[in-house]
Amino acid sequence: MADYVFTQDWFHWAPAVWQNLLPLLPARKSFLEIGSFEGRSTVWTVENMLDDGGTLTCIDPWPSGDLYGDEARGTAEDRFDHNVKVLGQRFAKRRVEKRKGQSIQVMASLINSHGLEGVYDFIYIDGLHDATGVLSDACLAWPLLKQGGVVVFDDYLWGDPKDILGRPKLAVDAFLNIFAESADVVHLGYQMAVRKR
Amino acid sequence: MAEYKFTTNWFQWSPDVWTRLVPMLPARAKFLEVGSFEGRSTVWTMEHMLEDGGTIVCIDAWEDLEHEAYRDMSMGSVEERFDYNLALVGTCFAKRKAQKIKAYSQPALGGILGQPGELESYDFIYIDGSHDAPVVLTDACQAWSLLRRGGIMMFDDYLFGDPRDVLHRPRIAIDAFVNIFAEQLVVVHQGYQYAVQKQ
Repeated sequence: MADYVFTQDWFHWAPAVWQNLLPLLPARKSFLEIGSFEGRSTVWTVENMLDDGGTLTCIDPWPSGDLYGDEARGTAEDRFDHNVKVLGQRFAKRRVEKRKGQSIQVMASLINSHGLEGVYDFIYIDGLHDATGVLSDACLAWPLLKQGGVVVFDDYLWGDPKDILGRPKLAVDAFLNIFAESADVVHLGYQMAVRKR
Repeated sequence: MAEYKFTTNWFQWSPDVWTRLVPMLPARAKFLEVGSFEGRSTVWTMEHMLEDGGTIVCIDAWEDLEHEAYRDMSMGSVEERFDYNLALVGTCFAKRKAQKIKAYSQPALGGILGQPGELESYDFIYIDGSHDAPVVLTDACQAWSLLRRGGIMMFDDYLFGDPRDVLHRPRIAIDAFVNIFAEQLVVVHQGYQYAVQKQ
């Protein structure tokens, strides 16, 4: 049987945190991931968090010539497709929906379809890492999140602390301050997790 | 000749500021307004800023306002006045179009953003929807993707509300937006309103 192919392991410390968030989720049916790359978090989430019958929607532009491409093993998108295929063989009742595009546009379309009724139990934000990208992703993800649902921001403390516009922290902090009446912090570390009240 | 029907004049100090910004716009063809109410800013914008052949998109849910000062105001009749005023401006400026979208700003902007050709295509965007900070921030982030380079985004009511009630007034959201998008904008007006130009 085919095995997963990964070239990076940025995700290794996440499972310990995410296990603790799992009991907080309103359901394990409908997840959203912004920034899928080669699919490591995708695979872990589907294997360990999603219910049978559930769907994880994955948004990524998968730019050609991406920074971490390993030519011998194809592009990140090739590896994502391969890994999702392997995953589908192992967990046939759990679905991955691939949405290739800019997160702001894909989420805008989702909000247009669903209105302000939250549809996702869990949203993982790991797309653009500059503050403008993180802020836009956060603001657009929020209306898509169910009440009681959880958003995890990856890489809250990533980057040069002096380069405040080039890292996620400023945007995550601003988001939490401004959405204070509807967001509770449920994890704070290298990642940040908030639950919708 | 028929007259416009307005019951409020929240817009009275805008024309001075806006008139000065007009020469900075990349074009006067494609405008967007979040929060149209009875159409006073819409009418002024169509009369004085938009050129023939241009279009302004008007987004408003025309839903009753929660603020106690406006609790008795019927938004049904506000919307009727908007329709009446827009019909009237249409008779005077037949070559300038308005497109009405009755919806909350997030799904409405989302619908526009999802269409091909809309990204970075608007010359002027006026943000005057919900005055709660989270909604102002979300409106700003969505609208920014629709604004073209050199285009201007104008926030109304930067200083509206009780200064101690920071989450229910626009200021904290506009300040956060301007700080975080600092590399993509310059501030071109700051007063009771706030205007930024996209770099």
